[in-house]
Amino acid sequence: MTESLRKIAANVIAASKADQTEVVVSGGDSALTRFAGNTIHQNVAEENVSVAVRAIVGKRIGVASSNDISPRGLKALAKTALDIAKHQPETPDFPGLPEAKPTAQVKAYSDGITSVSPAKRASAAVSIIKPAAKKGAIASGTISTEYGELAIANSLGVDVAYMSSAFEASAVIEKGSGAGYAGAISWEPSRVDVKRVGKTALAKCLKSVEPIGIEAGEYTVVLEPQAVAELVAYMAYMGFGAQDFLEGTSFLTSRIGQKIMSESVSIWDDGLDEAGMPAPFDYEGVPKQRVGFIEGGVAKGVVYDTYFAAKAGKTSTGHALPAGYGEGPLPTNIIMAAGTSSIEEMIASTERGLLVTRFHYVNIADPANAVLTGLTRDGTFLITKGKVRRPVRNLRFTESMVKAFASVEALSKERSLEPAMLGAMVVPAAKIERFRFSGTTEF
Amino acid sequence: MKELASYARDLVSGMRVTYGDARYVETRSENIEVKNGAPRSVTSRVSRGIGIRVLADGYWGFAATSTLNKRAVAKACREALKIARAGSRAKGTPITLTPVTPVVAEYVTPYLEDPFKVSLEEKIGILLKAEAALGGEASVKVRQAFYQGFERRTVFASTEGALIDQRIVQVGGGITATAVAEGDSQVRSYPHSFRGNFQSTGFEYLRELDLAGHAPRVASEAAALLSAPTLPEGKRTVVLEGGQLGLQIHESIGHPIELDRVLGMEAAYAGTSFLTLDKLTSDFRYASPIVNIVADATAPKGLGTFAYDDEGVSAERIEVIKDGIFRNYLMSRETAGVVGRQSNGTMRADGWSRIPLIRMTNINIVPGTWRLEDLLADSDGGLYLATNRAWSIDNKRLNFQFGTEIAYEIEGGKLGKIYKNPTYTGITPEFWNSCDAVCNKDYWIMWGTPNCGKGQPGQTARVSHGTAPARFRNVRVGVVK
Repeated sequence: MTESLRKIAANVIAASKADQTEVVVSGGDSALTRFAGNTIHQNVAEENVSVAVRAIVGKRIGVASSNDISPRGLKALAKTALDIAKHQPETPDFPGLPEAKPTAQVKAYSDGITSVSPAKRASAAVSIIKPAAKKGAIASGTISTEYGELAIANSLGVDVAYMSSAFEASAVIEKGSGAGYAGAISWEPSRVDVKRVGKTALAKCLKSVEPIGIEAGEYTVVLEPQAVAELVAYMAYMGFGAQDFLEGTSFLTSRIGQKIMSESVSIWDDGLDEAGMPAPFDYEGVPKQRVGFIEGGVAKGVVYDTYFAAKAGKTSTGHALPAGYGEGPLPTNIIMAAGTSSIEEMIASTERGLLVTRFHYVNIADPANAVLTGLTRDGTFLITKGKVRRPVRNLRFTESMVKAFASVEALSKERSLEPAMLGAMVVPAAKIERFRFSGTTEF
Repeated sequence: MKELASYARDLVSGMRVTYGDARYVETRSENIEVKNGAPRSVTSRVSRGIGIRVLADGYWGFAATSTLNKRAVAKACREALKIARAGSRAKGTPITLTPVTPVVAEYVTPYLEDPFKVSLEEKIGILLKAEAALGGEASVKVRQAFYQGFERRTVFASTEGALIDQRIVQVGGGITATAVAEGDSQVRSYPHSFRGNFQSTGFEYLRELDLAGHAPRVASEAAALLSAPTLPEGKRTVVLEGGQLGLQIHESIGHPIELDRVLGMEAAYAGTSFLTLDKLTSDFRYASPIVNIVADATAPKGLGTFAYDDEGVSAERIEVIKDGIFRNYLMSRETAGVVGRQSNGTMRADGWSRIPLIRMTNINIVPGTWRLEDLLADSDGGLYLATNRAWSIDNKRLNFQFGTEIAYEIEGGKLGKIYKNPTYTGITPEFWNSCDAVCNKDYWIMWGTPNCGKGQPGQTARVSHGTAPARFRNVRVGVVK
């Protein structure tokens, strides 16, 4: 099915007058049913094919993208990329495009995605809405499907393609002052239990009605996997890419080989692990390598694309993002090692602490020290003497992730695939000591 | 493309829908980043397609395609109708729309110099010169200069008879110096962080910015921050520089006044709002009496400036906060009826493949009376916080925390000692009620925020905030240890 995209790429390369040419063709269909106030209020579908051309003239680089895939449109696109390259100074340290390497086969696509019609999405939404409405609660959320194709080719022989799918369900259910969240995502639609998403969010909502206010300060926290994913995603954005690492702004700069976190913490990127949302290669067509960031608490390394690998005297790990965005390479298939505990055991072993469902609006307060800030949301509970006692009003945390992940006391055996900023990641629940909450809010 | 949009509109009209519209959108952008003496990325992006929105059986359906022929458009029309019909399974309250007078109109952003007609060499030359001027400090390891030219053409055709053709042109740029030492990095930017400032105008704006002229100060401050102390915790008087005040307005006024958030339509993602419906009619004191906020889609140079929104409603200047009292939400045709009002023209979509949502236009503070020099002279012992670095706010828009690139002690009416990693935090109405001074129109600038996220699937809106520096009392600062 990716043949038509590969053909577009091959045609553009054949017609290109640049010294080197790279073509990235992405296409697919996506659809999303959004519900709120116990009714479906937005319901959308989209189909698109987009082509990005990177033209190289000497060490001059031009990037142009368009979704006009007519022969005339593609010809104009190649010319735009070439013109951009011609009319600028050289980038002296540009190493050229990557050469072809064998890529692994991954299963990232399920035919099941094509059977999720608008009616089925609506039925799935109703399966969350109805039980909530019966309990006098209000359900909001999404049911979404995505089918994608990606083909990448360059004039040095790279010619790769793969298909992917994604099915996601998420729900926030509210009743008065209570709110609960649950979500699930997979490339295999049958792995997403929509009813369970609704049931979990509803149960959490009903437990969180009439929260009490508690003071800000340091607490032991039991973080559910979605909360862990949010922290790991921002940590990765701040520190696990070669650009920030080489420029000295990553918290891992100068710390490779040092033990900076708890021994139980291991975090890596693996695009080939089918427990995640697999991808066999990056946006330069380079095969994805498994890259460890933290192993047994020790800082190990960062991900590279071709440009930054050349600057560092290394080889690309297959983590290029689309050309022209300036972010540098980043991990998009993060996995965190499991532990030996469970959420129940973590709660039972906590004298006084907080159970956190997820965080909201996390942002970077001090990148050099990996300090993040954000708020709890949709289910925060006080734990005393080993039991969840009361819902609490939301709190703001301001905390160094190096300190927090050095204070991990337990990780759960079970892990789940959680949607996150840089792509869904496989993470456990975590118990962390002395997690700093700097403020409170009014609900 | 008027022909294709009209074709889609006519097809939808024949499908016995309550309402339908077709939007052809073509966006074009040119992005340049120069870094440490060479181009880091020079990119041109074009995306065009058509989105069909229908209201049938009381529910919305939307389908979009990038294939611009009648066959593909007809398929999208049928798909939109099928999706709308599927929505009725949830059996909620059927959607109704407040009326609008359909118009046939054209609009183009006023500008002097078309940014897409200026040569690439000239643009890169301006950036390289500015980037080189950041080079006077050894500790500044990363020097960057940015440019973006942007245009969006929208053809809107509705079953009610509207046919509107608009071309929006925007330009922006900026410089950033990152100073690095063992275990620390500090950033200074001009005129604003995150790639600079952006306005709806022509290439003349990049020339006016004089990036190279400001570069030595920017580099020097970044270097100085490395050895500056971290801002200590305390409660202080703060004066917010205009760009930071823009983001303060964005997060703690702009989002809470979106009526779709208030009604729970964004509950699952970005959240709701503390600004519940009862506050519209109860003279809710949002801010101190000197604070006046408008949502002004007619203001020159704003990224939220246009003639008609993506429902064909004309641009308006709305009083949001008058003498500190809350007066108006941002409303769509669907939501305005809930509060017994009419749409005030704030529905915008991020391109052809997205439905319009209620978005900020230009949410501006009305200039006050103070000269900045007088305000600083009157604020001894306070802090001047400049240039946003981080932002975060809860899902009802009450508890916020911002970080800025730099804080200055205000000493004897001047900016004195500097601090790094400054942060401040507060609760929205409490904070705005502590505002006791706003600078006058001589200090008022239109600040662009081209990256406002909302909705699922995610949409990015380009919005602005016209601001002048303002003073707030008893603010908690220094949250980061």
